[in-house]
Amino acid sequence: MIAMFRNAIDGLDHLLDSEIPQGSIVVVTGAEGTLKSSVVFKLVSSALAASGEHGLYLTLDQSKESHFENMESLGLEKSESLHVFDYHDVRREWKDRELDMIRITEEIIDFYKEKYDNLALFALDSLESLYSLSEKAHMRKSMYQLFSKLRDDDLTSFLIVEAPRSEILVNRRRPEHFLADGVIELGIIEGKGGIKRYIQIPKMRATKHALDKHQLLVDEDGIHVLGSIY
Amino acid sequence: MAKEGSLFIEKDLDGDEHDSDTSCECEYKNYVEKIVRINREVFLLSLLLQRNMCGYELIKKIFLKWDVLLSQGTVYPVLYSFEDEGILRAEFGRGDMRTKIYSLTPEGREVAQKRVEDFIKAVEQMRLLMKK
Repeated sequence: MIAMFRNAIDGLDHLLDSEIPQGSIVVVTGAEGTLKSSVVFKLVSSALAASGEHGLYLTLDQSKESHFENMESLGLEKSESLHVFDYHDVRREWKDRELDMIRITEEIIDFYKEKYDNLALFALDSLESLYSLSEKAHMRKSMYQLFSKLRDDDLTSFLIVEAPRSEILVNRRRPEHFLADGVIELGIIEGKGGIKRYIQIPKMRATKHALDKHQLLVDEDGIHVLGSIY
Repeated sequence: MAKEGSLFIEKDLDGDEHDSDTSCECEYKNYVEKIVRINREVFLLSLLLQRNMCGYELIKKIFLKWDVLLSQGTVYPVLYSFEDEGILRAEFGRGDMRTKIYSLTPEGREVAQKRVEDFIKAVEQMRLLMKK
């Protein structure tokens, strides 16, 4: 059964009229505090619970434990078939070495693919951290290599990209955005009605979707996408 | 690869010896490398049957013992997976919150012993059949 995302978050079907195709690579971008990790975690976890497939969530920014604590505080439950790989042990034990993080990431994917033949979803939190720990010289080439790997393995992938508020527009020109099949932008907007979080989908190939910003709300029941912000 | 491996030789505090290879051993080394890579789970378990170790030490030990440098991406997922399955327990080293030390659980020790025995038996059987 193919993972369904439209119903993974309450109200997301306001934005997505059709499903994200299997094997799509989606960049999820936004400034700090815009719920990037939570949105991706919720998307992947809910889709897996409904599909019975397996998924892999790689976390570089937070430890597995702190990640779970954050998710729990937002009322988000981890699907049993979502496997979380925490890079912290590798980073701590090999801290004096320059690691080939792209190769390591590919090997981790291969391990889980071998272990679970229906591994269908992949999430990386975050691409910035992966870059910052990787060999600098061949970064662009490595990025293409990673994208090719994800496409070859037919993994529907969510790559989190940090984007400082002042650089949202600059970030839209980043190579990852051109290479990706979809971009989900998360942000904070100030208006007469106060400060609101929003979600916007500027790009999603082969998917019917709205372009306008929708309000993103978190409460004790989890994450919700409300109506258009304007 | 040799460059990465040389870091272990410099840092070899256990006094393990590491023999340098000659070109005639090339084919032999290729077979050893394949065997270790494909069966790395058994090799990791065999080392953990001897003593508790962290991921870094396990990679180092395999390099020094079999001259095969396993990448972090092929070792740490195995350790995490064993931990999830209750075969291994991970604890931070005493006074060292940087290093997670892996040890076999009582059930894990049984699993490890069985897997290592089966592996050795398979290799022995293979050797006997090839000589027949």
